Amino acid sequence: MLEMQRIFTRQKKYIYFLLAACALGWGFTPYSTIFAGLALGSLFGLYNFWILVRRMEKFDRVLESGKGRAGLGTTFRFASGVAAVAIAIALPEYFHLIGTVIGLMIPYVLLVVERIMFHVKNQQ
Amino acid sequence: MTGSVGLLAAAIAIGLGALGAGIGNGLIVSKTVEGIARQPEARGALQTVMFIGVALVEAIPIIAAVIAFIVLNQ
Repeated sequence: MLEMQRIFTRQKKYIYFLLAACALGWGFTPYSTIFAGLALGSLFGLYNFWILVRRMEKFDRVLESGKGRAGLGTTFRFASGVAAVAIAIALPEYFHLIGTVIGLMIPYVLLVVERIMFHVKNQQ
Repeated sequence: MTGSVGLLAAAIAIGLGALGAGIGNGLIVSKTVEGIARQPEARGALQTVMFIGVALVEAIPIIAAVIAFIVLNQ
């Protein structure tokens, strides 16, 4: 459990840095819609990740107690991904669609990179 | 609005994506529960691996759902 929370805390930290970079890009470059889309997508991606952590903890509790049943919240994650894209489609003058989709996948890429770094560090 | 071929494309995209995610998640969770039953002291490590596995497995179906939604709205 602690390891999962640690991964999530690290993810949050990286996403905050990314959001800061997106804010700079939004304010000071001509590609403001792309950066806004990236920020929107990564926020929804982080929300997906938070749902996953919460559901995993619930799953753990159910496994421990041995009664009841717990899902993994797949529907919520699908719905939040679609919600991010729906916002980008509804407001194309503010959010770039492809940027939003890329932003949605950023937490997963960060997860892979973070795990690789963790294993490289712990191997030596 | 989308024609019938677009609707079919969206349905196939989301259906196959969800099928893959269902099979993948089922395998991951079943093996994790099996591992915890065999070796309860390794629970933390197993659940961390399960967490990462589920997260990575579900990335593709989420993209499939997003693409289906984009196709529906074109």
